[in-house]
Amino acid sequence: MSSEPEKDIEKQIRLYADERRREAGDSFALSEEAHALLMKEAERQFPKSVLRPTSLEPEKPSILPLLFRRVALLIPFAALLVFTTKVWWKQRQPMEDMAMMEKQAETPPMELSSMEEMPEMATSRPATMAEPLADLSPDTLKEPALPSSQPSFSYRMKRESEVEGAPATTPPTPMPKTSPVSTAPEVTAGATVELRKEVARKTVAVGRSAAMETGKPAVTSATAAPVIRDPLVQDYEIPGLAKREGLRANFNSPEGAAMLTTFQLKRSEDQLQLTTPSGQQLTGPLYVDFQPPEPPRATSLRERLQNELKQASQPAVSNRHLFFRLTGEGEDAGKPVTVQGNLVPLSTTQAPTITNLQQLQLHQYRIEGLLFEGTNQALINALPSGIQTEGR
Amino acid sequence: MDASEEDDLIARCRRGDLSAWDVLIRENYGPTCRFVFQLASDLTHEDTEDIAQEAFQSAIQRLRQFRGNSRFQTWLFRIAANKARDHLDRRNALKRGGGREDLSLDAEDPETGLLSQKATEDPTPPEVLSQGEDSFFIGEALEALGETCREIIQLRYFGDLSYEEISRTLDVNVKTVSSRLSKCLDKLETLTKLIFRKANEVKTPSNPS
Repeated sequence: MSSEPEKDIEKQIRLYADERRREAGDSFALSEEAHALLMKEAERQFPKSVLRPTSLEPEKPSILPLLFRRVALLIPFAALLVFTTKVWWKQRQPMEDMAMMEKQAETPPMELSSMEEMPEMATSRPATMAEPLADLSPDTLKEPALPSSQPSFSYRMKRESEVEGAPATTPPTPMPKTSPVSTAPEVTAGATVELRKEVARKTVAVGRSAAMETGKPAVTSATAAPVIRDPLVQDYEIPGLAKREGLRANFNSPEGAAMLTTFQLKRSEDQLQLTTPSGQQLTGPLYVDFQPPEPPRATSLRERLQNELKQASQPAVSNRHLFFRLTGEGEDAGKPVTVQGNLVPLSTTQAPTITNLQQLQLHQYRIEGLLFEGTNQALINALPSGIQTEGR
Repeated sequence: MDASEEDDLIARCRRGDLSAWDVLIRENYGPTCRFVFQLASDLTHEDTEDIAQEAFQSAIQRLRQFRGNSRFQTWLFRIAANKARDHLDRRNALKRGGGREDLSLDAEDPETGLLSQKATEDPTPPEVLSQGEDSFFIGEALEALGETCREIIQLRYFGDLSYEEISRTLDVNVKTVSSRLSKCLDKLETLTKLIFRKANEVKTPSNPS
């Protein structure tokens, strides 16, 4: 390269360059005017306002690029998070739906919950309910005088302290040692029935006639007489006007007959027989732990009521679901009557645990159900007759 | 001034330090003028200073684009060479009243077998003889060279840059610099001979004695 022998043209160029340098000499001096112009241009291009401390260290990166870098990192991360959450939620939703469906399938249609949970259920109902629970003052719970033909009951709101123990007005009756199973349910039956009836009454309030406003039966005393009962036969009574809580399928339908004031329930194996005082008999099977078949006359109103009851009873599920569906003829010949419902333990806190039907004792259960007569329906809340009520 | 001092000076200039600008301008003004003065044999001192000041003004405006691949002075020389070229083009255009023709190295004269076109119309051969033939022929031949060859020869022989400095300035390999310079020198030699012959042909009839 540079060590190569110099060409003639190179020598001539060097001679030319030397000659021009000699001609130039040292005469090139920057004039003050030219210097001032150049400095002015430099000041204009690099103004003092952007003057920064002179440092040989590299300048720190400004905050904006750093911010953009962080945002650029954050956006994909956030998108990934949202996407993952969405996928997880989509996967979880069907599982929840299935679980809910299974739960609904396991829940009997008309079972009320435990005594402790009933107030919560009542307050957690939808706001569309006709009667708010705030109206449950003692005054609103007072029962009007009943006709003489009806069994008379007295009502009294029980205090908290009385629910678990003995009533305030009636001295406690010692429980017989021969019937330990029935002791606890009967002691707490009063409070249970009170709350149950209130919740039931509130639950069926939608679409119900104004007759609901006039009477609210309740059983207050827990002083049940100690009796030894036949586990296969039990008399039931429907206290107060519960028997008359007829629900018309439409407003053109007549009021339902008050056919069930008291009745006797008899079990034979898995068959139940309901006998009214007038001798009518309704028979049918007792189902255990599976969903009952749809009632023959399904109406939208009934379904709605059942849904209401189902919602109200969802929190508490007894250990065994005892559902029955009894059919027969009503007082009007040829008119089918169906009673379907659940045997509900009197106390879910001390619910009897049964593993087969032989252990089933009817006096430990109350009855919740619906009566279908023609196009009419009536809510049935029946208690074993052994629960003592007092007049007022 | 070594490279690190020059980097510091340029950094201060970028920050708006006028004292740094003052140093940068004063230290490079003389060399730039001497470099420009060599680029053409007919450049006067005034022309040279005008070109140098234009080069400095352009360098001030473009300093943000200076990446430091070469020395600042080399970068300034290239700007000055372009300014000088523009200056010569404008002046020649004014003299002719139009554009000037470039001498093509590819177009040969059918009679002589050499390039057919004359590099320039001025100065006249008698003027050439009065100025010194060698300088005139080299200068004319450089102007007739293409841009690539002219730049590398100017940097090498007028700017006194090494091959390495030229390679960094032009962003080419050192071997490329060497081979390109060799070819360009050959072209320059051919052009010089052609211009010399033409000048003698013109000189002979006008001065038979």
